[in-house]
Amino acid sequence: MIGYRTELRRSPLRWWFPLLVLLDLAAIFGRGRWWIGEWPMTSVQAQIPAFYLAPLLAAAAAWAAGRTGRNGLRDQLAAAARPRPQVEFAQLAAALTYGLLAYALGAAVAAGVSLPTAGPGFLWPGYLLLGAALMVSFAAAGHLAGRTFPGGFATPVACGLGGFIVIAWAAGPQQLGLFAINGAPFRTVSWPALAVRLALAGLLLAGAVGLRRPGGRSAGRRALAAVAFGAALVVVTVALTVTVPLQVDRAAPAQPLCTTGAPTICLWPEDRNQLLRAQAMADRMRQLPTALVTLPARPIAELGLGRGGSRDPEGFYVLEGDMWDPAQTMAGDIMEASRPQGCPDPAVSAFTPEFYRASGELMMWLTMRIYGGPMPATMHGGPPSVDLGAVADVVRGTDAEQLAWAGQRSEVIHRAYCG
Amino acid sequence: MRTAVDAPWWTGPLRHARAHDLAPVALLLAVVAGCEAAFGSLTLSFPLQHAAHSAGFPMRRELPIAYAALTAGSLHSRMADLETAAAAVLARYEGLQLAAMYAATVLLVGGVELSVSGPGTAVVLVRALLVWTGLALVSGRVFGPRLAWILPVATVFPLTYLGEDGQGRALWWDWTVRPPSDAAGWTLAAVTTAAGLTAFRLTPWRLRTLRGRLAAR
Repeated sequence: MIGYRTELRRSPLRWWFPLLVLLDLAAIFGRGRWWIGEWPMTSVQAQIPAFYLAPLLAAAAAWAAGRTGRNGLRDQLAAAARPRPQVEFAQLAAALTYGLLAYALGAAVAAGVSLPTAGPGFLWPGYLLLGAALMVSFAAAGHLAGRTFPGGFATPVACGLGGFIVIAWAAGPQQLGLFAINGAPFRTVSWPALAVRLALAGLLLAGAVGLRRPGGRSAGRRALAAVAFGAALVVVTVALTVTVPLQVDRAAPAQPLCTTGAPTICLWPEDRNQLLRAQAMADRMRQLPTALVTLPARPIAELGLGRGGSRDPEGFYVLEGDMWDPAQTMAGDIMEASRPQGCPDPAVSAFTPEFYRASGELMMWLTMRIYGGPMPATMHGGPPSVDLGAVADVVRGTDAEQLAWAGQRSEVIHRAYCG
Repeated sequence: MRTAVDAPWWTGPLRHARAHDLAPVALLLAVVAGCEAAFGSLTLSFPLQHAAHSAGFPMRRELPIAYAALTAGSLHSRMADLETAAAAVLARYEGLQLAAMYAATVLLVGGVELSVSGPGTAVVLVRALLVWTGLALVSGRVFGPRLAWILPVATVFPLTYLGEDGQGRALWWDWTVRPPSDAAGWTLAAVTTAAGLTAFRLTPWRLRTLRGRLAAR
């Protein structure tokens, strides 16, 4: 314990701690604020800084661990009364303390920002543990590298820059799955996957403090330990690849949050901060001219609430906390429900470019009517050959003008189906 | 008996190179250049989920950091304690070493990129090398040459995470992405190089003299 406190006081990270906190907060708040008020997204966002903190911790641990070799204290330490793993653990624990403390502070700030608007629940521990496992794994690997190659220059650079490259190249959610990017409410981190990542952290930690250079009286035992460590590392790496994808679908809640009045829009309870917006959209849908459109009869549900789970073709997805994408899905549902009935299936040749343009324009008009305005600047895309600015101008016009404009498009579509 | 005066002219540079581990540095430069040529196109992806942003970018864009760290880190000496009392000839050798490292890294980055990716990328990455080398020299003066990598490695976060606006366009200061003729990028390169060379010239004894002069005023 005294050793740990000394290491804490002497760690090279002590002066860098405020900067680590600053980096953590910049990573949490630097890209968009849509995660605020939604617990799974907030949890994933609080975990993102681990991506950047992990290689930095690896470099710092490598530099710190090279101390013994750099200062010529190897023999002195070999003759010390304390068991060597205890000495190593104190030093590594000091580096981890600074890193994990910055991470925890960032998570606390993120939680505090989310709390006033968030739905039921709190930070999801699975995502936060995932980030912590990533940081512990990298710091331990850096410590091991620093002990093995104690030169003061190349090892920390290789751990820092190489760590960034490895993590950005091979650790993504679709690869080794060491971190998560998307905190959609219909997904959660799979517990077996998390257990394997925690096991990796534990194994590297054990290797970093326990492994010793072969030599001396117990040379055979030390070599055996190194071989066992290597074998375990291979097993865990294989387990990493087997447990990808990292995230699994959650069971739909018994009571989703739904708007009142037909048509109904249903959300995950975690997305409660969108409920008022969804209610306004349902109300605007009710005001659409019934002469032109038929509203879908079933409730319009967020992805994961329907039967198909996260692959439900009819579910909408709240992209980046914006209801634009859901509005587009709902417009598509309305187009589907309003398709001319009772006519024979038209020939493919009936679907002229004019038809596609008319149906694209009508769909974007519906989307903007439901959304309550033009496409926000942060969103992208739309049907080809549709001038979104021109459609936005139409939406600003009077009801009669809009009805006439939409009637023309509707007529083109009807002609394509029914001749 | 041969004295130092009789020794052939190359003894001094050779000893300087040995004390500064320039043979391993040259080996590492070759290793990094080999990695750049062979694996420079590996796709790195960063934790962004914005729909408008590219999924990733090639590794070569970050590799000049390794060259820059080697340039500034090579200024560390195994005899650093002794050298604090060295004569002016050491300063001359260090200046020559820095010039040689600049030339070697610019030629390596430019040459590898010219043959692998083309002139545009070569120019952008040489510019990035200049920026990072300047930062590494500053960092080396502040934290010691062995920790010269701190500032360049620290720039990875803003460059990969904050370097774009909401539409996915590179911000003016993103020196790894802006086009080869970009004025802001070259201004940054000039400023950081000037800062790096100033930091290199600002040895402890010069700093002391400067402080003494300021105090005398």
